[in-house]
Amino acid sequence: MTDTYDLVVIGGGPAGYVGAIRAAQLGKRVGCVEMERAGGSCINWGCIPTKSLLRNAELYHLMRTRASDFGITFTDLGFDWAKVLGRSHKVVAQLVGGIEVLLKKNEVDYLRGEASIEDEKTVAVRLNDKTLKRLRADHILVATGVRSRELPGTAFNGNTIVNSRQAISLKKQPSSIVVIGGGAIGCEFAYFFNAYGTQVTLVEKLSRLVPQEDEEISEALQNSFVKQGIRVLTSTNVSSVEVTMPGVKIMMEGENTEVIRADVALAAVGVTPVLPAGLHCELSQGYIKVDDRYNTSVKELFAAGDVIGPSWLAHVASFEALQAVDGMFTSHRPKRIGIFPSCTYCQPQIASIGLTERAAREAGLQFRVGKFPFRISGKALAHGEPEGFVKMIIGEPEGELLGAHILGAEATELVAELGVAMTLEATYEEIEATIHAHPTLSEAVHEASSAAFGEAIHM
Amino acid sequence: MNTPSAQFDLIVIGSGPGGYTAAIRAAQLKLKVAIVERDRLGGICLNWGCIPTKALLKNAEIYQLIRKSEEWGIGVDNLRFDFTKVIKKSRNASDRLNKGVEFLMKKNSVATYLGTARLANKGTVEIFDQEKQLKETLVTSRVLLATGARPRTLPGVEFDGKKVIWSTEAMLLPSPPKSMVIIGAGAIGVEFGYFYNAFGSEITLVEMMPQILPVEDREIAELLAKSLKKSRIKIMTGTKVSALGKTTDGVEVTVENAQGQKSLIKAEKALMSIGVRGNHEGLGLENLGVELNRDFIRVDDRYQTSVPGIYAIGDLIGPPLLAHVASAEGISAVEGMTGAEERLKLNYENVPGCTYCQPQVASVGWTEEKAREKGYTLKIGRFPFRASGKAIAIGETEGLVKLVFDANYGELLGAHILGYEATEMIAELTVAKNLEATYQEIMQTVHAHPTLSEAIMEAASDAAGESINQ
Repeated sequence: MTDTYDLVVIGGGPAGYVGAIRAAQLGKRVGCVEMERAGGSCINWGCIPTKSLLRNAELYHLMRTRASDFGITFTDLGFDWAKVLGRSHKVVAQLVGGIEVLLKKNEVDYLRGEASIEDEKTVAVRLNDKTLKRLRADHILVATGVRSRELPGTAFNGNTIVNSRQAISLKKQPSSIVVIGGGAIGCEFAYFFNAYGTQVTLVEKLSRLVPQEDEEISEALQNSFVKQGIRVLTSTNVSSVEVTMPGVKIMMEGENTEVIRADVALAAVGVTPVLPAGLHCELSQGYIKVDDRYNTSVKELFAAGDVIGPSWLAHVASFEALQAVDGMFTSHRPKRIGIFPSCTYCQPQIASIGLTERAAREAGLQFRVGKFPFRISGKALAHGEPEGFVKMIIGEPEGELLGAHILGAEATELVAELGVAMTLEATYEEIEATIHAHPTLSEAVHEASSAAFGEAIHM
Repeated sequence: MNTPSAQFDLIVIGSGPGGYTAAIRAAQLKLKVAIVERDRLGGICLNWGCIPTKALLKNAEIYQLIRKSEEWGIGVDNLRFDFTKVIKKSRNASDRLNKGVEFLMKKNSVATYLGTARLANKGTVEIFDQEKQLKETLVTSRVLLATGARPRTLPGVEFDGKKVIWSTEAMLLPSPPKSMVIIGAGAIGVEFGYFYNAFGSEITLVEMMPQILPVEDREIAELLAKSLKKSRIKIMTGTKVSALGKTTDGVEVTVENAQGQKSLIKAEKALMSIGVRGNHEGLGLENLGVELNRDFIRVDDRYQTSVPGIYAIGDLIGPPLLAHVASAEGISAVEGMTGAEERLKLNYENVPGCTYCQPQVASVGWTEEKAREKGYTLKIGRFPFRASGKAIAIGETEGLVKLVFDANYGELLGAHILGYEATEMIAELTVAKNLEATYQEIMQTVHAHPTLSEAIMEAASDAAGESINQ
């Protein structure tokens, strides 16, 4: 039997489910096929459970190291690893349930199974009960995402050599872990395990942590991590990982040539696209190639999200899916995304948008830099969170915002202001003319803008 | 009169957030500036207001969080707090910032005089020490008054520092009182109610207006009231205080509701937070003919008083009584008097307001009620945090974002947030409102996932009927 749809979406992650709901809102008949669980990596094994775990780590870390600063005392501090992880799994279950409700509420046909593309109008779904179902589709949106890359020559075993997805379900807390890859995911896990007392070594091939961020941010984060007790090895390559029972043996080369033994090795060294079977369209470095309308080289085949390549961010994926679907069914002219924030949720948090100082320089732009440290922010001091700073890159002579980089508590919420400002092409004068509530951390954004012109009040 | 000891382009009287900010801005513009303070640099905000209360509130929040740490798989025994340390921590934050202002004055070459100021005439400021002896006489081209405000009380009720107290005294108590009646449920009353309730005091909030936080959107105020009631704070709105008497072990407050029914509240302490009046007395203003506006000083749109050369800003000129408004007025006044290009055009419609209890409240622009009164057709968008991934992950699902748009042009008229970190989230909406953003523009802004701020984008989408996640 064959069902007919205006749109069939392959993948139920932040691109897929959002695209499906948007099309349904436009009155279209929509099917959405998901091979595992609604919500994709983001909700099941990525953004959401890690944020639950990180918040957990933050609380435990606060209780372990700073409760007495706040005049709070207790004895016998301990934690139950299964409960810590259990809470994050409950959070996930709640959100997955929520998405299934949303799909139903919007009358999207949600199918669990593995999709393959038979031709440009037909998606075949091998349902979980092994039956095959054919969906006839006027449009197909591929949103199948990515999965973690393995270390060359080393397979994940879910136990001692793990990827981020497996790391959130380790049966017991490792006493030592080597995190390979110092990007956002690696840094988040390093913070998490360290906060719970695991001995953490964080290894990065490039010369600094979070290499896509501004250099000053990387440097400040590394200092903070070292102070927190994380061993950070940069410019260091892992040449091999061996399972030794118990644990692993890790050989390194580069700036640090040594062999480390640990209970677990966690690889966060990048991702590789997941392509549905039967896909015949142009690729670019393994990812699906799309034009400005998110159209692939095949006329009615569209793609959005991680599967079309970097930035591999959930919010970018959702935005792309909305653009793609609006472009398919309305007169809206889709936009390729230009301005978007990036976040890392360790403590101190990192959030940024736009150009780094180096990128602005390499682009040959004229600009000024303004900085404001949280140690002179009233709210940060009142809260006991004086770490970090706001750094603004402001173009000259027009005063347009080129980039913003924040390290500190709640950085990931503070960056929203700059998202709106940059999307609306605000100048630094418009940030200055905006009254920021006192006392807030966001005052630091205001002060950093003023500082670029020597007009900050508090420094 | 003494021989003047120094001459200035500008003398600022009062070193709170209005005064010290104005002094620094004037120094940046190359004026020769002096500042006079009779108490501590930084004024109420740094010493007895915004800053120490935020330290106290954060402390309460952490204590509440630790009390619930079992939900997070974390266990402790014998959980206790040392209230002296709680208070001390808040004093430390104030002290550090107080030192910071001192440093900023030095760095910007602002001459600092500690003492009480009085204007002998419009160009002469006399400074007296604690014994009321004249210490210095300064000459200046302009004076900026930034002396702030002090709490009001009810007719016939006097502060005694023990049973009937005001906010400053409330942040120095040796231990949480067994019970406290808080008269006036504006931001200050609500914050202290939250704080002392968290540390075990029995709290009754009495508010004359029909809702707590009377300046906030009604829907938000009602949701907050519900939340506070759930944490066992007693709330009496539409209720007047008709008498307040002292007993041997506390106070007895007779209150009367809108139907005229009276009841009696007994408590160990009464905290008065019903509003403030400007500190305009004793400055010699009467002799100079500086006009008042009820309890405050009247100024024009560049903050000049009725006497040319004398300016006034901040709480002294009346509502909105907010530190960030005082600072902005200070900058604006100084830029106006020096003829410098106006950097900060202060639009009072775009001033954010914050209340730091948990859940927090933050807003900018018009409430739904006000927008309707003004005759607008509205598009209203909401998004509850219980549908936000980040809020669920961090266990902070209370509250919502409510955005009020003009239905015709889509312009943002008001934004109202109840929830965790509301006070930080409001910055985005203040920028948006200043840029006259529409709901379409907020929707087209990519918000990071997972963040609480996504709720803003979802609320804007909801106004358009296009919210994805609800």
